Amino acid sequence: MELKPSEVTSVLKKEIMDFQGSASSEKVGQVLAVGDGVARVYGLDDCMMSELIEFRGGVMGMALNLEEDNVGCVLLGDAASVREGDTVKSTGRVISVPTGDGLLGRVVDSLGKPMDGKGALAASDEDLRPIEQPAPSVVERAPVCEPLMTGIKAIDAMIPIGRGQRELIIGDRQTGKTALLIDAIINQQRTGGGDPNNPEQVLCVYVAIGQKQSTVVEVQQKLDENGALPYTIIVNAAASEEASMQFLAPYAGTAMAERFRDEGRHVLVVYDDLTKQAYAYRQVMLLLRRPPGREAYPGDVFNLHSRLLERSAKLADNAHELNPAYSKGGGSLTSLPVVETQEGDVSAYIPTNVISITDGQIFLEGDLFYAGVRPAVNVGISVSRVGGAAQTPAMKKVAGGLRINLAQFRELEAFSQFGSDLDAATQQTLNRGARLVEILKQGQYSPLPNAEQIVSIFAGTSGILDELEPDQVKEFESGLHEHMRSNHGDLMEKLDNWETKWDEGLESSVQAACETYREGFSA
Amino acid sequence: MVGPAPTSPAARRYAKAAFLAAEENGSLVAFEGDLGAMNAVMEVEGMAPALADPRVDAKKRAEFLKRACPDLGDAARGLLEVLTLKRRLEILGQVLAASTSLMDVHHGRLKGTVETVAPLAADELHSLEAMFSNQTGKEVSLEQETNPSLLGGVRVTLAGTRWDASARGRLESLRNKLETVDIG
Ligand SMILES: Nc1ncnc2c1ncn2[C@@H]1O[C@H](COP(=O)(O)OP(=O)(O)OP(=O)(O)O)[C@@H](O)[C@H]1O
Ligand SMILES: [Mg+2]
Repeated sequence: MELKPSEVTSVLKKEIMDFQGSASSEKVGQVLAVGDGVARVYGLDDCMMSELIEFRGGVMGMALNLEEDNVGCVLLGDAASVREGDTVKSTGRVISVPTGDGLLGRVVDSLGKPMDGKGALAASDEDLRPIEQPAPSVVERAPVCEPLMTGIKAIDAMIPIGRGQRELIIGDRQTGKTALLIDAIINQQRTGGGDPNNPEQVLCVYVAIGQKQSTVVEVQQKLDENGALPYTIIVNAAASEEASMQFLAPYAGTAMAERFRDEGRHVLVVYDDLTKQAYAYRQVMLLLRRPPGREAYPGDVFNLHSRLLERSAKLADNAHELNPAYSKGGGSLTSLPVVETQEGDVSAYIPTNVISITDGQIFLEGDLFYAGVRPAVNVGISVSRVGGAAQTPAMKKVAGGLRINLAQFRELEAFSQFGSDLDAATQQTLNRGARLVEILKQGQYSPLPNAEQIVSIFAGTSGILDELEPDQVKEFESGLHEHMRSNHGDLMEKLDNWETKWDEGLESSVQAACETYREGFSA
Repeated sequence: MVGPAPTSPAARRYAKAAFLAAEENGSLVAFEGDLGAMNAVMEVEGMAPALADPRVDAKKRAEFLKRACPDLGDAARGLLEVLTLKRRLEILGQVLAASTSLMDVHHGRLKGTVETVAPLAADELHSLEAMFSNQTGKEVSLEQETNPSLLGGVRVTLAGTRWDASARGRLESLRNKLETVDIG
């Protein structure tokens, strides 16, 4: 944008000439007490819930407790300049954040202020959206029907996620939760070539709540290196920020995502993680003296997460005819909330709450992670309740028996440690299982296209790997992928197509191609 | 100061009870007079802390107050007795404030403040009060405060609403406007 000083002057001159020195009236109150990031304000009789309140020096607060004669609010900024006795103003507004294309590739805080040093956001006042929005109603929704590929074999094969679904990622600390989210975001590049202007491109929002600043920097860097930053927004409420900013971040990120959803786009939002959001909310509520309940959380902590996750939805194709708030139907908002457990305890308060709100969970287990099974998905207790309808038909067919094979393997594995004499069938199940576990292992930052995934899973379930030693599987797999792409490009293209059905003809050609490669491999 | 000083819920309960008792006895006028008398005593330098001093026996403190305002009516006397009995004499100041605002509501009076750079002349103040009385339909009385930082004009705060017609307010809103001017 080129600006001539003379233009600026003329604009300012016009503003000043139009400016009528009129008396203004506003609602004012007074700070009774301030501390720990919360303030009590006296007056402000008609204050709304969640209304923004302006303190001295431009510090903003948000009303959270409306009591008979005072308003409890959290401060959304530096509390040091707020003093007892200060006059405060109510603004009549609720918190809004900028939305739209201008935010893609940027790092912003919970109020939408850029924090990546790349200058102002390309967003105007019309782009502001309140961070709390009602969830789409029943008639405006459609059942989940398109797949959201994470590029991770264990997930796309056995716990498929559909667009508009809410799938919980749950596990202890350091079990690869963040890694899984990053890979899922990187994999969205395949939907539209990483070009945010391509309507097919799935856009992503990474909401970091209470993370170490270094983690967020790393995430940003990795997304950038892998070409995923241009279609991603990072909302960062780091551990060092006020608790209020931390519990607002998911709502802000969702408001940004909803803008795209309502324009008919597909969006993936990841919340990393909601446990820390609940901690922040608990802290603020205890300071505001809301009565504590189980685990000292306030009574409405369930609602904190349910109203957030209800905003994930697949919209009906005619949603824009039903509600003018949508400019185009058919969009979707998929969310992957993360919850951290202690010692794998999923029956704690927050995990049970979030499990009950989501459409399934992916359980990451520390023991598996340390045994080298990465991603450490515990297939036995991970489910996806709606994604099956959205899985590609070929993958569905090929991965059909995978789950049960793995379950049998896990059971026999525990059992076989006691005896040495195993019958042939048991031995065979154990052999197959060990190779399946190997083929499902996957490194970081290497999400796979649909075709590669199908070929790998097929090789595992059809017995092509049975003759190999488990430690050869990794090498075999990458060789096989290369072989398939260079010699059977048409076949792979077919498998990449979501519509392709898995029939006998296709199966025998894939089988033949895999066997050719195996013969070459063992030789 | 924005509106009346904050009072605690307990003080408001005592005030309401005393007010209702006086109303029932038909002695509201006398009660209002008593409130004035007690407020006057409380305003004497050092009186409020002395009356709230827990080291002095509560009965003695109440007795002292009764002697300072000799002819209290039944409602006011009862209020003092009950406060003494319940060991709540230290909130007397708040109870009086709450009672006074109840009286104001009862009579349809509104109290506010007017800030100016230099004190207003009496007739100017009256015309301001008349203006706000007209607007609110209540009997408005404004307390004067001088505030040099306004630079000029007046600023009135009444029942949680602030009317700003000061030079500073205008400059500030001009600044806000300029900050948000879209020069693109
Ligand atoms: N598939 C994988 N293969 C190899 N290493 C992995 C894989 N996934 C994660 N890791 C490594 O494991 C470590 C922990 O991963 P990550 O940070 O994703 O876990 P987390 O559960 O998010 O941890 P935190 O609880 O600290 O947020 C990282 O060093 C990461 O590089
Ligand atoms: Mg993490």
